[in-house]
Amino acid sequence: MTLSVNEILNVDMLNNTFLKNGIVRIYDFLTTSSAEQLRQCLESKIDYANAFHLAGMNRQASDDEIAKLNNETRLGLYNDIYKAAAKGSGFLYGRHKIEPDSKPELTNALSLLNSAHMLDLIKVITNKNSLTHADGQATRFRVGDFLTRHVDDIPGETRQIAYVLGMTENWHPDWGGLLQFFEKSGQPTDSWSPTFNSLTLFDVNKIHSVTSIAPFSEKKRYSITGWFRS
Amino acid sequence: MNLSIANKNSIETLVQCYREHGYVKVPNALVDGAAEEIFANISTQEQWNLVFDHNGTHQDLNNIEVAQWEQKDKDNLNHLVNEQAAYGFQYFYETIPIYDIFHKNLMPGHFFNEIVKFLNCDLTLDFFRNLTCAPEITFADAQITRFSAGHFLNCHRDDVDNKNRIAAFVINLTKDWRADWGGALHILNDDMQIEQSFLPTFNEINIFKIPVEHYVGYVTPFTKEHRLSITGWLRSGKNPMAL
Repeated sequence: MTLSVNEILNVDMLNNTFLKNGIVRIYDFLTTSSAEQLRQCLESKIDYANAFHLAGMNRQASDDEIAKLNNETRLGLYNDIYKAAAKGSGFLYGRHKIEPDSKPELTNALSLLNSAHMLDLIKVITNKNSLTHADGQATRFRVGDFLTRHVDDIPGETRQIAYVLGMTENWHPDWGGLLQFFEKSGQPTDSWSPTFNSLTLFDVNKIHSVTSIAPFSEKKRYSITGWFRS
Repeated sequence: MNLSIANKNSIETLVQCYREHGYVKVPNALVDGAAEEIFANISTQEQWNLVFDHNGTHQDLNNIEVAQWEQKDKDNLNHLVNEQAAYGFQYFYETIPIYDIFHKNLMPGHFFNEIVKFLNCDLTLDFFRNLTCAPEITFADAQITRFSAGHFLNCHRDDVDNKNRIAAFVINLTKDWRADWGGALHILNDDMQIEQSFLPTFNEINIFKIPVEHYVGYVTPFTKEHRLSITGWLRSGKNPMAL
């Protein structure tokens, strides 16, 4: 099985938008059948680990491990995560790093992003000629999950461009899960509602967050995210 | 205390933004001390109407009574509210209907009446008329709203028949709100993509033209503060509540 992309016809426009805003979204990125295969894989074939930030450390636990906790411990865990989140730090969401032994849909998606053709396109769109490769993870945000404001350009890291390949169909903005960008003051600049089969690219120095998923969301927010690096 | 609009912003710039986008934010909108005065009077208020929709009918509960309910009844209410929110119009927040309170004289002498008078004085209405290029505005209705953890207002367009709504306004009275708590006012475009988000910012007024799809994002469960504002519509025609 291979995944393939649609031809991108408006590269100049995407480039202009990226240079102006540091953010750009490419719609209808994969072919219809490729997007469908990847969606099915993300929804039903992946074991996500729930990643969260607690007591200054990044930690993770499987759905099973969390389910096995007694009610009091589980509530305590969420309370501790929420306490940090109230002060603007931390996250809670499901993730699976794409490794060579991941499901073929995922390794294929990552290979696609690392193809010479795609790297060239991303370089042209972003003017980042030093890009050499991309990493990736599958992510799942369900009710209560969130990612507070942060920047991705950790010193010593080689991250240049962050990407989000949205894989949730028919998302409604009421449900939250927005990719939201901010000024340093906390004033929002752009908010992007999850859109199926769209590839959003943004500069790693952009302050951003994923807004909390409302309890009435009947869907989970799936995507493949990662960084193009140099 | 003088409740009035400060003239700190260039009206030309505001008008230009409103004309171009159909929305605008007015930072530091009220004169010094006015927003603090309103905030001081609202933040001590204990009784609110907890509102939501049930199958198209507006529902009003007394927040103090709900707080005394048993947990299972509160859970049932949340379930009822959220069930409709998934695929339809729904809202869940607290309100004080100061427009009704003023016109029906329900709380004589109360500060709430001063807010309605301030919104409807010539100076304020002229400011709104100029800003929205709508000289036909004749009055403003208003409510005080309070959003806490778990509250939200789903997408809607505000264009209710026979209400003659020209524009909506939000006077933000929340101090030190954190963007991570949600509760932003989002304005959507025709593709249902978010065109602009407004963070609750003290003494800032957001104004947007009706109709437009907009919503107040879900306030996260870890939010400790209240999101306070005065919201309402600038309307034309005869004020149906006026004598």
